[in-house]
Amino acid sequence: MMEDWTDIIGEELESIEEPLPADDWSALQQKYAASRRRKRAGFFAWTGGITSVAAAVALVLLLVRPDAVPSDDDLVADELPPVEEVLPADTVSVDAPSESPGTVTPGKTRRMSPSVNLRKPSDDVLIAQDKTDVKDEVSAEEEVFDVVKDTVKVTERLLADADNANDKKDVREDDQPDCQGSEDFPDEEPRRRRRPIAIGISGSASDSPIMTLKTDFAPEPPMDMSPPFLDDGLSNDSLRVETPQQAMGMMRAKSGYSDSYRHEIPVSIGISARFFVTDRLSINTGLNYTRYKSLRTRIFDADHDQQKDWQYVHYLGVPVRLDLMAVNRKHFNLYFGAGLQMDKCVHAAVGEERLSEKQFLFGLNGAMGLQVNIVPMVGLYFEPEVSYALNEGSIETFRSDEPFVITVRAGLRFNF
Amino acid sequence: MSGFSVSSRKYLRKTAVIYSENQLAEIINIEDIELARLCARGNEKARHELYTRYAAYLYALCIRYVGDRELARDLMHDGMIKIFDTIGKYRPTGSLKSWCARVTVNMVIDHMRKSRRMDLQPIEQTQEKIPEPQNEEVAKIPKTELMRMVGQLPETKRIIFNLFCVEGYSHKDIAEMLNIKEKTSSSLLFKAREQLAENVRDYIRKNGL
Repeated sequence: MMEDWTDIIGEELESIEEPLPADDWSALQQKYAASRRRKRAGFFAWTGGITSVAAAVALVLLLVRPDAVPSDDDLVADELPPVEEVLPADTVSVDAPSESPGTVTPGKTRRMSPSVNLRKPSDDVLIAQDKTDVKDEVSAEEEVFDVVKDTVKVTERLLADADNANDKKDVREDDQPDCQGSEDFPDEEPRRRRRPIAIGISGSASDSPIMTLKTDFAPEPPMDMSPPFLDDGLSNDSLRVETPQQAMGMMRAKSGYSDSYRHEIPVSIGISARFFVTDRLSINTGLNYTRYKSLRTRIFDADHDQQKDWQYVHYLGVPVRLDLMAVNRKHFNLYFGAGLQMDKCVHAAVGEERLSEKQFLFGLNGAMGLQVNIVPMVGLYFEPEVSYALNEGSIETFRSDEPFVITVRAGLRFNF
Repeated sequence: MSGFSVSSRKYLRKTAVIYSENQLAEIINIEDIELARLCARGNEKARHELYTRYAAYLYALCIRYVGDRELARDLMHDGMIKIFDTIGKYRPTGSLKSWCARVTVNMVIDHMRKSRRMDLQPIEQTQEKIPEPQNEEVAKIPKTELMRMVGQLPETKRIIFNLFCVEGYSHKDIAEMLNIKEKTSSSLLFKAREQLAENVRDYIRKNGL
């Protein structure tokens, strides 16, 4: 096929290169650094905005659903003993005349929920329901009515002794009235009081081990290409070279080197405390220790020799996180949280060389946690957590190489 | 567990490590794919090498599209930043140079579209046949002159000419890129050819080629 004249122009133009100014690379580097800073700032703004909106939505949901937060009456009621401890069992026993659904089985003991009887409006509802249930037998209805009345009297007395009731905080779940979920008392699900403080001990590992390559540019070698032994600086007595190793050391120092790092999985252990602000919102804080381990390979430009050293960096961190309880069941809880973590390097060394890290490191984190309550006092929890490092610090670690990290925490939480 | 990185980026990283441990000092001579892997790892030397290899070419490419050298330099920088950020997505199905050019062209077109400098209205094609230069005559014209002649084309025609004749995109691709009809692309190219042919013939006449 015959070539078109524009094809010739295209071929000619495609191979053209234009010379660039000498300082163009440094200008590009500056622009790139600025671009990365802008991206980070944008991420920070978005994350902060989303977290704020989520917190605001959670707060609004809590405010528009006041029943989600137990009232003082409810809390006191939860702590009251079962009715049978106060009243003889036969006083609350009702023999229902019929077997229709929703009525009481003959000879079966109905245990009244004290929390129902504490609320005056509920009494009317209960009475109305009972009337409907046993409408065929007026005598049975009166018995029920009497039972309710008696129960009201007893619970009023108990209210007066509320201080005594407070001593019985650890009411076991089994001791709660077993009428929950029954058709007779559909609204009588007893609420468990959220324990105000929980303390957790956790261990975690982050992401998979990765290899990274970080190059440090040593000062530019002098333009004078004469052997370093003839350099004026080495003619000084104080810098006199006596062994080949010293000579090599001096030569390496004057040329440069490249460092590459292979990072191991960071390991973290910590202790945390959770303070409930409301029934569903809590603040989680504590102390985390994290160890970053990396293998540094240093290659010297002078002789291309490799030197490998292990680097250990130890951080102590204080996380502060706002948690929202999404699902709260007897045996498990599901919660979401977002917050900040501040870390401080307490010790860092590579080989025998000590490293210094003055600045505090900050990070954002978001977590989703599942807690399985083995017993009411102790729960086992798993917390996948996403964190984003806001600043890197001066030491090369897993964190500085990978600002986004997924951590899986697992631990025990003690509820008090 | 895996982080947020794209899987391909992870792949590049892992393979980059193997390379970096064995031949760290040989960065200058490595092939495109290894260079891309090292760049994806954030290696500064590798980025500098990428810049050294392709910046001048990308700069010329930007000049071809926008004409203005200062603006071209800014766009080339933006393109390089985009390349640094997305090089993990590079697949060795084509050359790294072509991939970099594609990223930069997209960057330039985005810029032109945002600055509303493109007049993408269809043009009526005239039936009048303008005499076109011979291939041999065109081949004798220096590259810099060709570049100047293309630079003299109106903006929209210049872009279509570059995309079609230099980068080798089809009218369908161009229509998708610029969000225009294929017919508009072909009519604009027709006009660009007419104008360029006139410029070329003028040059040949003046210089006696």
